[in-house]
Amino acid sequence: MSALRADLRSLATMLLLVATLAACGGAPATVPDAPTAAPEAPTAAPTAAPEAPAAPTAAPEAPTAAPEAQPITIRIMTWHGPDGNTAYYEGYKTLTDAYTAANPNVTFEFVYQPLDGYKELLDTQFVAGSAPEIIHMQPWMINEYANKGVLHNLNNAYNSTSPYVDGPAWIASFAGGEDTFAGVRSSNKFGGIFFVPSDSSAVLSIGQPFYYNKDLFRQAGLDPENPPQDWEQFRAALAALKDAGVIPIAADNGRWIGWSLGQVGYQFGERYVDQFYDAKFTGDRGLEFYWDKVYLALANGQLTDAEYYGDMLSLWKDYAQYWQEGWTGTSEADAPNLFMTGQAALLQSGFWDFQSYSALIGDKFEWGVFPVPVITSATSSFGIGKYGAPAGTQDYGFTVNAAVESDPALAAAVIDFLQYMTSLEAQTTYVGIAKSFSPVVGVPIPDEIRGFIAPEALATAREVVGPSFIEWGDGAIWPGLSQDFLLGNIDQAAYQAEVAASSQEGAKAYVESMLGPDGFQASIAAAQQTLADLQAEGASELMIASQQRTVENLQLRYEMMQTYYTP
Amino acid sequence: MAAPRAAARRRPLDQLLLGLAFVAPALLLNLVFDWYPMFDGIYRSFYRWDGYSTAVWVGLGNFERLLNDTVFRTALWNMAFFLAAAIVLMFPTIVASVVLFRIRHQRTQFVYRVLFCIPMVVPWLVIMLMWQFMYNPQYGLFNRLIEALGMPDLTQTWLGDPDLVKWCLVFMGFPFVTTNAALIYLGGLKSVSESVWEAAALDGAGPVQTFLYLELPLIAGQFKLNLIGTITAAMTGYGTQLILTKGGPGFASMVPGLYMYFSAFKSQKYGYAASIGLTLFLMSLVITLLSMRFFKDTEEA
Repeated sequence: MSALRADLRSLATMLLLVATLAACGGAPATVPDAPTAAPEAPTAAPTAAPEAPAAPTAAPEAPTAAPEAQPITIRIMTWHGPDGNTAYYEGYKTLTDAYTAANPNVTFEFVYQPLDGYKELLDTQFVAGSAPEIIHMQPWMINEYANKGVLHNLNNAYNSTSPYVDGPAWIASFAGGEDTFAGVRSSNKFGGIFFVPSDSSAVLSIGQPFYYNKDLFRQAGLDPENPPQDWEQFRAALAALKDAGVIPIAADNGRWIGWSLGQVGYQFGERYVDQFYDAKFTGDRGLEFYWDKVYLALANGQLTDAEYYGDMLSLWKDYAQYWQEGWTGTSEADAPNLFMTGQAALLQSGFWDFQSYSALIGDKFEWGVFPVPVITSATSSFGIGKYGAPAGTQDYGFTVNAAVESDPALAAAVIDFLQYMTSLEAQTTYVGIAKSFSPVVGVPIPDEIRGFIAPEALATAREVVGPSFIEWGDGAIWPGLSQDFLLGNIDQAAYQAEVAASSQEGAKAYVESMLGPDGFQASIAAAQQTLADLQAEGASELMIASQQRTVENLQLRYEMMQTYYTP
Repeated sequence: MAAPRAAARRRPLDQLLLGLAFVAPALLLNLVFDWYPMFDGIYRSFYRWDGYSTAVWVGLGNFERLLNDTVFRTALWNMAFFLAAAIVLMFPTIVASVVLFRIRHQRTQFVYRVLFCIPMVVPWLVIMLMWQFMYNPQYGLFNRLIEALGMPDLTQTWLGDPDLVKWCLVFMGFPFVTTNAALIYLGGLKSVSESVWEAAALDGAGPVQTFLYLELPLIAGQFKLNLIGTITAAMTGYGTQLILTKGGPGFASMVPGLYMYFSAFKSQKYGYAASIGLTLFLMSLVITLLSMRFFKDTEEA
């Protein structure tokens, strides 16, 4: 038996080893930031609740207090990695290094994942309770995760003072102030703000323009110094390029479907849904109810067939003839090659690619950028003829994992870092390195990217509904259906009916969940509780007033949904 | 003699415990990482669940929906195409293995075996991206070659052509020799007694007869093993489609596995995705059992 005991002892050791190895596996790639950084954040979120959406809680942080001296590791997840294509990572790294220098107990780790697979990784991390503390998110991700209750509501932090900003509230340091967050408040069921804007501006209309090859423009007999401004000129230029044997536009089978739809579609249907609602939900305050208005209209079948759809869809389909042959077999990574190698004359992308494209193109050809041409009445009587208004469009940035709420010291450090990161000084340093825009008042715009700002006079459209009935549909289906429509495999009526049915189904599910016990009723109760807590704590008038607005706004949204939803 | 007898009685129990203790880690990991997710998937397939919120019981709702889902139906047809192609394309590997086995010169056989194995160490992702590059209509190898041969009218859009895309994906396996399968066949042939081949030679069996009546029947067991792998891979795999075509153009290369992935990660319909997964599992189980049954009947006949 002693031999057996010995065997069992060695087996137990082996089991321990196996368990240790298993525990070590499967972590996402991180870029250790400091040599002392622990491989796993010691304070990492053990209580991330994957189930029932958490109610927005009072911010546990003490934003003005310096983080305590206990060692803290903050993980920042972003799609901007140290891959050398852009300088965003370098910019963030400079800020985290500076912060660590001032607060030696706080170190940072970057979790880098390209956008392809970003959400998949994030989903699994949230479910596993291992999501990073600070997470870079695109607008749609913020709405989705906020509604799932896994993000920290920054409302109270925004309305508190920041040690890095003069004035009564952190939020005032963002260009456009609190008003520019109205839209994002309405996009989640808590009426809260769940991100700190980055690399954007709510007061400038920063378009996603076309990069164009001036040499190919010349070859096609076009004036490279006068790129097209409206859709008619654009179509003529594309036809001339095609006739000259040049690929007019480099397209791909991924993001381009949504992007091209956006170029055409969001030039139709300004304030289209307002016709279905009472005046108190439209006009100047309309943006606060925008998302709910669109969800309701979709759920009620009011967006199944708008009068502008015919023009919008036929224009989009007509546009597809100028994309390279076989675009449905070209990946997102391959399409830019057509532009870089001088085969395609146009490529759409944002200012974030400016540095990498400059390096890749070098002096191979002369190039520039121009904004997406506007659709005027010359093309369609429904065309808006202007760009989306910049005001009220804070839309993306860094979110905070709700799990930090269980560790006040960690939460305080995270908020303090975000406040530092959005200080005038830090942002000025950052945009200088990254060649990016800043959401903060007074930060200079780097000269290299001034060309990405849309003409101010044209940037005035508000609450543009456009192709929401397509894009808000089932993500597993609408891109494929759209390809079939653009390739002529299904006709417009069938396409429209299928995507509308898909988005209506999704919107109904959303509206019904918001009218259910976990929806607005829970959000309102939680917001009222937060208000009572703030009042009991003797919080600042600003915080209390802001929270009162949140409660009122939620009540109005609930009332609107109850009034207008027809099951 | 009583004590040793008692020890002898205890020994099987001790050994059983020891044996169990040794398999426990593997069993535990197997249960946690293979069986638990599988049963959880089955459980989820009866719910509407977005991955976070409380799941809502829908009974057979997801499966009813699946029956009427036109995209799923298209995906099934595409899967049938890929499955048929995969089974037909198992044969080049068999032929290659037999040819390799027949090379009597040990050194030459070694060289060929190495050549067989080298592709195995190249990641499939790299191979896929290489093929994607070759299929590119603008700068890819195939169209350039066709143009160089003076037939520019015959250039194709390859992966961008709904009629060609499935053939393009199948052709990516060219020359259709799978290293793992080839090694399994080779192992099977090597395990056959040398006297069998000598007897066949004495009886005057030619190379074709030897192949049809000896080599092929003798590796039937290995073929069955590889067949199960091929069926499972063809029915549940979707990596190639995900990387190269995203199921397009339209849904021309959509397969159920990819639709399951999109339903989970693009539509947040985890319950629906689980029902697709369960359906796929059942279908691949049935087809595998049927093919095994077919083999059994053939053997008995």
